[in-house]
Amino acid sequence: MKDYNRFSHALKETWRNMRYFSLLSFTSLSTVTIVLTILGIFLAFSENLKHLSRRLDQEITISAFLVDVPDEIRIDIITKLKSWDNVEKVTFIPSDQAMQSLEKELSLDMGKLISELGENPIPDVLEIKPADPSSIPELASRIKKEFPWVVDISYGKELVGKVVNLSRAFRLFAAILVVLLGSASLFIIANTIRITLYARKEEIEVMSLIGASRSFIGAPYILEGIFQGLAGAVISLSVCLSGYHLLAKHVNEFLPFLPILPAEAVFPSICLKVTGLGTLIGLFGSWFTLLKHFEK
Amino acid sequence: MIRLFHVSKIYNKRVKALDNISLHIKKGEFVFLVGPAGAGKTTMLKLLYRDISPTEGQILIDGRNIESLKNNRIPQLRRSMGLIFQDFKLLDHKTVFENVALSLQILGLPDSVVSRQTEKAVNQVGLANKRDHFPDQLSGGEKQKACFARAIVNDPPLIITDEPTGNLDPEASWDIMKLLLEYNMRGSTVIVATHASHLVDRIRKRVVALIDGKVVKDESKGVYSYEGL
Repeated sequence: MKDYNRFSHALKETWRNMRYFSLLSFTSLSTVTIVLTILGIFLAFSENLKHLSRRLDQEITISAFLVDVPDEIRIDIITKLKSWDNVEKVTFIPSDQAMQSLEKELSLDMGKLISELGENPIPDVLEIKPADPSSIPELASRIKKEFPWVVDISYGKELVGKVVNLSRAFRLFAAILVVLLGSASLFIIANTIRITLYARKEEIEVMSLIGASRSFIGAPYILEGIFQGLAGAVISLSVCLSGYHLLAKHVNEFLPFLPILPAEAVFPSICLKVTGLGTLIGLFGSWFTLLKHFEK
Repeated sequence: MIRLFHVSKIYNKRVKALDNISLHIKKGEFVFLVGPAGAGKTTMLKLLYRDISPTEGQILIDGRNIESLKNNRIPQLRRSMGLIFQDFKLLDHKTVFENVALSLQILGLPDSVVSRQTEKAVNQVGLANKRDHFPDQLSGGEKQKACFARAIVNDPPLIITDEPTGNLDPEASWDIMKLLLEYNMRGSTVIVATHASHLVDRIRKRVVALIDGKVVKDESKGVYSYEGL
């Protein structure tokens, strides 16, 4: 009951303090909102880039071309390939089927071309999907080395390299940005609470003289920090969500080939992250500042 | 109730504020602490409410050695005493009622109990009609009465006041002194550090005089005089 009364008092004090020092609270809330908005934008961008990267990964395969390979050897090659750790799937595409696909994709009359050339110029193909797209170059050279029947190998060498590099760079960038933005927010909240504590130095002294415990004195500041983090998160998420809807609409209209994820797929996890981070930086920002203040 | 054994306090390893003081204040006593500025009166009071610690010696309050108290036990010590200061130390953004109520809210008491007891204390000091006023809407005497109400609202057995009449006119000073005397008559211990010689001489209670950190006079029905000691 006593704890409930103290908590209820702390809540009232938090509200009263925020009203009394409204300008300071507003400045802090605005800054946290800006930082969390940047974080929200970044996370939305990150989710889409991950999605794009995953799609590219799925589409990248190695094509191993076979010419006049007897059936039993072809089956042996496929069996061996399937047993490799870094091979996820092997599909055999006979030359006739490959020709039909090409005919369909290019909308050409290939029959005419074949009659002019005398035979189907497209060889049988083994489409090999790697378990890990970053291992494609190694996998390709191993196939060429171990199977002399494979006359040629093709894979989007440059595209694979780009996707792998982009993915690595993005992960690094993401980690740095999260650390930087997180620290900046923590610093801002801590500084705001420090200014607030300084402005209320006398009040804290009076409370301490009449026998208030540190937790009683500190609770409204901790609650204020959490509230600022939470409110900042809610505002920034509203901004990000509206902005995302608008952007997605325009991208779908003008750049339809770019796969933009729907907001429903992106925002549940972003909401969780931004709200969680906002609350945590609010909590720790005020907590550390209070500890430092009481140590003096 | 309060015992000081060979207490000394040296600031910054150079300034000796108190020098080997031993003192016994019994429960229910009313004690004036007098002496010139810089004699060590405020230092002694600060030691009693553990704002500072002695360089040497021991201080017992109700048998407890307050020097050995851990930091998280200091609030409990302070809740057992009421403090009144010359500069009031009221919170500007709280009304008289809210300032007084704070002493009970820190105890975690329910709102109904806080309201009832605060009401009683505010009425007792004659500020019922100013209960919703903010400190800057009060006179010096009224501010000090609000401080008195805040100090006694949880009925502490000890009141410590540092120059409570320093900023007040004679009439307001006497009002505050009367409140302190009334509270003392109910059995509580009161310690008043003061320069108000006319009040000390009029009331004739125990007077402890300090000069250069030493007790130079301790009389049970004393007057305000330390010159020539």
